[in-house]
Amino acid sequence: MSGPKPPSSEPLLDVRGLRTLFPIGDGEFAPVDGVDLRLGAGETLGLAGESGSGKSLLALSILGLVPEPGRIAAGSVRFGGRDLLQLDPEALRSVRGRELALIFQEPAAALNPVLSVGEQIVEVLRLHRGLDRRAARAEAVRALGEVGIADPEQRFGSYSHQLSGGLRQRAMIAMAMVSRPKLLIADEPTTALDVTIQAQVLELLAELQSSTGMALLFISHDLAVLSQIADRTAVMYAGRIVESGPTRALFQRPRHPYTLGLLRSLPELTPPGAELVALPGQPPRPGHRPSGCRFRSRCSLVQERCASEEPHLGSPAGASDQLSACHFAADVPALGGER
Amino acid sequence: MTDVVLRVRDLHHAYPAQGRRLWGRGRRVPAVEGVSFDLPRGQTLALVGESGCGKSTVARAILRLVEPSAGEVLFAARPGEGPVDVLGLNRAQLRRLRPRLQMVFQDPWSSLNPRLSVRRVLGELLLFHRVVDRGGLEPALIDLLSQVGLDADALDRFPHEFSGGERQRIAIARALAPRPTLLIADEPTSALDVSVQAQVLNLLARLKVERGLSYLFISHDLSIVRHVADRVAVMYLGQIVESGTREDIFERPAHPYTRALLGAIPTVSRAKAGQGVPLRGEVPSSTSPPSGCRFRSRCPLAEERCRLSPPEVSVRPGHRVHCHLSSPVEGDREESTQR
Repeated sequence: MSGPKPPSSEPLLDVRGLRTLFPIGDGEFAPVDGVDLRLGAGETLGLAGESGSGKSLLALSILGLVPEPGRIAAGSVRFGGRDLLQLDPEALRSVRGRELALIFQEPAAALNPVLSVGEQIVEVLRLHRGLDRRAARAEAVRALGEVGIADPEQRFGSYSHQLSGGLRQRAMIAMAMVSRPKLLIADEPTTALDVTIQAQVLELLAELQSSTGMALLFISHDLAVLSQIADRTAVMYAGRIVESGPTRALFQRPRHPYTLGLLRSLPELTPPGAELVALPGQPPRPGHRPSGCRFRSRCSLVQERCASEEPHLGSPAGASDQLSACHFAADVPALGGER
Repeated sequence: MTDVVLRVRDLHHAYPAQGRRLWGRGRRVPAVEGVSFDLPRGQTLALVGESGCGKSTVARAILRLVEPSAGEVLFAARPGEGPVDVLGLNRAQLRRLRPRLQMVFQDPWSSLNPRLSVRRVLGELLLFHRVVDRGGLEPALIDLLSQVGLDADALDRFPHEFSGGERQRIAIARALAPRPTLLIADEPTSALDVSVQAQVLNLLARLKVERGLSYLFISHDLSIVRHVADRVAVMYLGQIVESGTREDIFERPAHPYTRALLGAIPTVSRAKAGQGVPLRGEVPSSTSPPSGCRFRSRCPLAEERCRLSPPEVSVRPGHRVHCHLSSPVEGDREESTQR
């Protein structure tokens, strides 16, 4: 690896002020609008948010894969000591192949339908690890076995359409792991899977993480899944991180009204048959974000100040390890408290 | 069957095998095999299971969107009314019955005609089913929309102008228009964000009371099922493996598959799911299910005798399990015929 070694205090991934723009009508819209995110080596950070919150585009922005006609307008993405946004395309591709990997919800879209899964892994190994064909083949079989695919020799020749959803996701994880990434970004990797298969894949990711020491950025709309896997969780709303902290603390005592609203709307935390406490309304549509705090149109704690002044992430009193972007973080009621 | 709105007995359905000559012509893949249940009037029965277990096929067979190969479906639209043999009806009779038996699908995006305004979609239904005449149409439309929580200004808008949650409300309004007795809801909130899901679940709960509806609720999501269901039937590979009240299934599950499913649900209130190890392997193909107990290839408790079809055991009154390893409650021995 080239470049100076990062000082040990620097996190593996340090995203600051990241802003990604897309044209809309006559103007531009920022699906990712000033995001700060830090992730230490070996850590798992959960990124929660509803559809349209910008969480998937945040992942693509970190990887430098923003689709046309979008563009990154501001911010920095420091990874392993350098700013990925400043790298030329060639250097960035090399980082993506060797140190960063991405898996997402629908592996069928990522796997080449006319190449067997084994051959695809061989290609990755030859390209990024410079192995010869024989060594690459042996390594690919080992990789398929490592992700819990039974009979990897035989599965090497399978095409993606011949695999179940669970096996496809395992194959995609195998492909992501062969380059020994320092950071794996997983965007809703278990959302399309049945619950028993989801449990297997979550277990696999946790095992791979502890055996390789890689960091994991796990993106999901499902708070329950995040509570299974994430050390820390960040909650995204309308392009911004509104709250972050240790997962356990965050879900036990949220300090942002949006996190509280998400948790309260879960059937799991409501007695059977009782009315769910639904957040009113829906997230703002592109180009229709309220001034000041973006969540104020749905917030039960809203006051005048929320319309004029945009809140920034800060530590609320009594919760030094949590960050909340709410003017009234100290007033957010407890989960089981008054509704 | 005074208190039962829907009775299903020994329902079978097989799909034609996909055009592979390898398997020969006319070969059929069983999707539903011997499903029986009662839905008491005014209650919600949840059919729960993983993808491919046949739960949606059961719903479609009841509505005769697919023609079941065997079985009996009895439907009593009003209390005290003699039940109708749904599978014995001809086209014209079926058309007359349809208003009483309505369905809401998972995907509100594809189930609404994009070229028709809400006024036309709902108006034509109200007129066609003679719920109102032309003179009474406008107030009836406004009333119908308000029942699903939408304003009158939605009338002249088109499906693409609505959010996912609003479209699902329109789909529910459309199902309600002909004044049904029974609503079959197939994963009605699976495409919705959690905050919007809570709104729709609350709406369905309110309509059940206000309209005296009965629900057949099809879902893969056990935390939702626990919230909405009075009774639960768990399906695996085309068969019901366990059925009982909500408390039976969630507080004292008896079938190893039910226990595994419950253990695999991630929750925000528990650090790790997995009471015990996650279920190994995947659901076998329905073209070649295991002989005897279909769950035995994944069952942690499987024994030699599981190669034979399991008996139906009544572990408590109304709580039935298809498993060799379940013991009936003393004095309530109700071992039924093996299939």
